[in-house]
Amino acid sequence: MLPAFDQDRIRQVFRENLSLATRLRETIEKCAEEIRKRESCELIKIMNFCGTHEWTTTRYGIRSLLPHFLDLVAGPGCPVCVTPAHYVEAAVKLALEGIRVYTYGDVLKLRGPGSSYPASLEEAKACGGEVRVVYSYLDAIADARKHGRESVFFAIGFETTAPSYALPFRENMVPENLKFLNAIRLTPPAMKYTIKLYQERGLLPIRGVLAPGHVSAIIGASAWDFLPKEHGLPTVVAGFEPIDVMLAVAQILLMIRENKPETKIEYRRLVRWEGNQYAIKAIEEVFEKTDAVWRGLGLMPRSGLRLRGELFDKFDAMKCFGISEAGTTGHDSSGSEIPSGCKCGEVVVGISKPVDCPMFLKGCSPAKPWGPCMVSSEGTCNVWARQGIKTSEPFKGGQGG
Amino acid sequence: MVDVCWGVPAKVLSVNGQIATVDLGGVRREVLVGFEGISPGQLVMIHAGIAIGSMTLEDFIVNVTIYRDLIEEELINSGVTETAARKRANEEMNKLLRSFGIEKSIEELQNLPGTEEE
Repeated sequence: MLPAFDQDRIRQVFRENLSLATRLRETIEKCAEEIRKRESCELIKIMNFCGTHEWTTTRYGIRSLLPHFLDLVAGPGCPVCVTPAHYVEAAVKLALEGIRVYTYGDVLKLRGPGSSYPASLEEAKACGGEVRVVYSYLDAIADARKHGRESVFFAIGFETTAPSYALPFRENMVPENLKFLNAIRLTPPAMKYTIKLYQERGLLPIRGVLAPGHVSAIIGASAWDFLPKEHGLPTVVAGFEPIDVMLAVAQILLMIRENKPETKIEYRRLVRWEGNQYAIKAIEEVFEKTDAVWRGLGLMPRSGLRLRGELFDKFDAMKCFGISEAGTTGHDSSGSEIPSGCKCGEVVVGISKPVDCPMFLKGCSPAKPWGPCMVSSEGTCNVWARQGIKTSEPFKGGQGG
Repeated sequence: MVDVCWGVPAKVLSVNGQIATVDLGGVRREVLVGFEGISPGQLVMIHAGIAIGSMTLEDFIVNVTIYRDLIEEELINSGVTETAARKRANEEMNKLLRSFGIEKSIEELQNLPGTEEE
């Protein structure tokens, strides 16, 4: 029998899925307990890769429904958080030079390196810089065509967003006055990096992964097969409803208990094993894989996309405006990519929690973000700051590892 | 919505080559066609201005709560009070539901008869 508090929370959150949620909670508790006893471990760590999964987990208080020894940590699945500061600095400079910079709303507050003013596109705009927030690349294309002057699109995103850039290039829809500042990043290499980082640091390993739903709608669930096959990690491609997250956690624990790691699709509403071949083909025609820097994490092999040579050189903002590639910074929060005092380099891979950071809700808040994880509505610090923290036990902090 | 990360549902009104006009709960938008076989009347998932896949009506209803909550979150982030944000989010979701031919409101869908007793 569950305590009254949990019954209330389940009732509030799960509504029409109440009985399923209650059963899942019991399954999770039972499985986790069996694993803990069998392995004599103090903590079982599962990673949700995607920022929207972290949003669901925190917003609906999923952690308060999990046993206290089951640690659901957030991974590097927020494209705004991992965009190199160097690119922000370049975009700010271009905006101040009168070149129209288009970007998404959640990029506006992202800060460049150092503490100079203006450090973000929002501040550049306040200084008279040409910054336009758009809903999509398509909107930027329409506006750039209309005004005809030099402009640049600050293109962030993962595989989900990549086809929205690839298709206009392939279909010759992009006007030559609209350059492309490319910060597209690929998610499977980041997951690989994170696993390796935990091993290198001797941290308590991740035991299972909630793979991103919408990224997988593009790349296909089979793109995550390396997790069970090479690393023995149960992996579930999950949707974003609270019941999806509960179901995925239960599936992961069942696979750990049975010692049968596989990739499973929980988000069947949108995800197929082979992904969206139409979008994949468009991406491959326009882009090629390249080594890329992730903010706070450093250089990862083949973790970015760059425009394929010749055909698209004339759109490449780096080449057209003489912007150098972001340098490499190791996984070191004192590096210039992460502002001083900020723990985003560790938060972004789930090693630290936002509450472990001395700046969390002190010098760094959603209204005035200092670190990159506080900027976007999908950044872990932003999510925790806005939604509050509901755990099954008073949070002790310092459980990374 | 101007954040890059959220996926939102919409109904396809028309398709013209690479561009589809969709109804995002009363707001018409042009989006890129990101999958094969798109057609008017379909429900699709929109991500940063591109339709990445189609959904059934049942799929959409399964997700209806989180879409409402995402809209509410966006409104609160943009400075709207919590109460007003909830009211507007419900209104927008109800417009979206009606555009999909669903007569039930978000409030009714969340309190389906019998579920409280389960």
